[in-house]
Amino acid sequence: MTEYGPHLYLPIYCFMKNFLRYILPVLLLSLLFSCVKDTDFDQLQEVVLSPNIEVNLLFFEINSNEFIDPATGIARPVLSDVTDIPFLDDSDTQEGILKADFLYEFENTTSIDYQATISFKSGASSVMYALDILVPAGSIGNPQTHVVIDEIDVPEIYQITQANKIAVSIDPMGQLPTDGSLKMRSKATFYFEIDGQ
Amino acid sequence: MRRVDLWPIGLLLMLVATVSAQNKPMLFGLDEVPQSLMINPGATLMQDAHIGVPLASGFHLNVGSSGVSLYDVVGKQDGDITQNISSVLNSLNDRDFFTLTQQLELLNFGWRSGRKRYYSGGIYQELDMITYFPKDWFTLAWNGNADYLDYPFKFDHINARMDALSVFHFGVNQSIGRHWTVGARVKIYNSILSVSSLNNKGSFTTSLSAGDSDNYYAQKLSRAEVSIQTSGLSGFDDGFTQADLISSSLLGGNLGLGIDVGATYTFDDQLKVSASLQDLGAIFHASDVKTYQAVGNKLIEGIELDFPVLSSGQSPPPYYAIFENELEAAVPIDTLYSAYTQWRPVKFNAGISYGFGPAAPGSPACNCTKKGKPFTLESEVGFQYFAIKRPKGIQMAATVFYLRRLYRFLLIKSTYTIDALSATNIGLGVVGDFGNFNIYLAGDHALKYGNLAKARGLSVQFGLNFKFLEK
Repeated sequence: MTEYGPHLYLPIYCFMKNFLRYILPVLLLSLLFSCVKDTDFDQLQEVVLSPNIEVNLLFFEINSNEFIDPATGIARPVLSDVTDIPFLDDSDTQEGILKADFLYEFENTTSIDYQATISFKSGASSVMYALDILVPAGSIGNPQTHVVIDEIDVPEIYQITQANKIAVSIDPMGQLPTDGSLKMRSKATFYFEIDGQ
Repeated sequence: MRRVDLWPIGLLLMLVATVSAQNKPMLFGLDEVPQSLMINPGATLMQDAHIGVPLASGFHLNVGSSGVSLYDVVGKQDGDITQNISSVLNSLNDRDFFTLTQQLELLNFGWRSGRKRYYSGGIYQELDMITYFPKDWFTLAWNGNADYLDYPFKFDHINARMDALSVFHFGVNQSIGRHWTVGARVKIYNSILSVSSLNNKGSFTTSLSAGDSDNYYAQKLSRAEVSIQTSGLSGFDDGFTQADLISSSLLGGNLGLGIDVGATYTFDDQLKVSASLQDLGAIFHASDVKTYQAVGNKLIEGIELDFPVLSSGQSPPPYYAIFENELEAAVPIDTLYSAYTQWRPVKFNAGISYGFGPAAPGSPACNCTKKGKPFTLESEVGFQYFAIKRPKGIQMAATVFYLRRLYRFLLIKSTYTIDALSATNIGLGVVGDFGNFNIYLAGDHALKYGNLAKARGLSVQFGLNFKFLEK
């Protein structure tokens, strides 16, 4: 059956000789050098991701008539509301956040000033950080836009990242308006620094 | 003595080596190796029967990365690693890819029936992965969206496919007249595990809102359609035992059907052309199928406060939960259990080869005997072309080769291949015939063997077979 028959051993001998002399050393050498080198995987621990994330935050519009309780007809001295924000006191955020910029943009078409207070709270009562903003009066024909940028750095950022709620209270300063509204929109920029460790 | 003098060239070539994902330029047209039939069922054959050493008749491993090497990422380089990776990532685009293909033959056999017909069959296992670089989402994770206002982060950058399957095949090879050899192979695919995320659509964009908008930003999920199709996944849920693997490898998975076809036209003793198509077929995923799918449009707003009048003890509305619910309602994540069909990545090979020089060692002196070892010439040069259909288009490779039958029991084939991975890919294959025992070994990117970390691809193939010739 075989092609080589009794001569089989000659080529095998010949091959083995050449194999030992040439091929094997080259195979071994290439195996020896076929390594992954000049690399340092530990460096990966030094990689720092620094994404800056822009998100919408809160918005609202309070019409002048909302300062009166419709059920009782009595004026509400302060309007306040609160929402959960479960992403700030998250452990990933706490470890990775470097600073945060908050931008609040008010548009006032009522005739009075407002004292607005933005509070970052942990639970229902502990205020971790608060910002008071005086929103100047405007009119329907001449809306007053008021922008406040609050840059939060170390160490205040550690207080912000203890918070899981934002509360807003609006305190009208003076005679309640009869028309117009107070609008606000806001955004946040979170500066992260996430390392590979 | 002349042949021995060629060894320096052989050594040089050995230090170098070829192949693009799934491309096997070494085996295509290499009639001395029975596995050349697996690439071209219409190959011209040199044996009258063959049987592979079970589990060792054919092994193929290929890894590749089109735009980056390990060294680019974790090489000992000057400068800051974050900067280095950043510049690597900037140089990649969403058509850059990473591939891994591995095949292992469990069984391979063949025999001649009559003078002109050759049957072959067997079983092999295959793992095939391709992941395109999800450029936009990497950018978003790496840099955030602050510097990318108005830029749509596109979901079609997420594109990946992984298949683990076993293949049962049977083929026939027939010579027709003096010139033609044609062949076909039927394949039953048995998918063990398949996971893919293809044809994703839509985008996510952050833009500044118009002045009178309620929100500062317009954050839009536009026509998002993102899905992950899986089949065979639940088998891995609570530990995958060896028994599970064996049963799912033996037609226990989702089945499919495919064919390979090929032909060779031999002009004369010197010139021949050949071509083949592999894996024209599909797998029908019907059992243990799960598709996770998110489809929708959504303008993501901030949280709107209503300042309701609350009596004592009353809580404000759960704004954040409402926000989350609205998002989930607009872009629901569904789990579907409907069957799906997936085409196999079809491959095309073509080649032209020209033989020259004296009769090869061990070959009859002329093409005049009907039995025994066929007539071959000492050297061959040629050109080969390879193409494979991948999710984001066709990937191609072009190869020139030089083949030399050094001894009656030893030939070498060296290749130079240009493909998406590299333009400096030199490969070397060695085939030994010791009596009935046939061994082949091939590798590529040998220029990079000094440091595989700098290679963008690596491919090795080897196999052990017994070939029989009628005297």
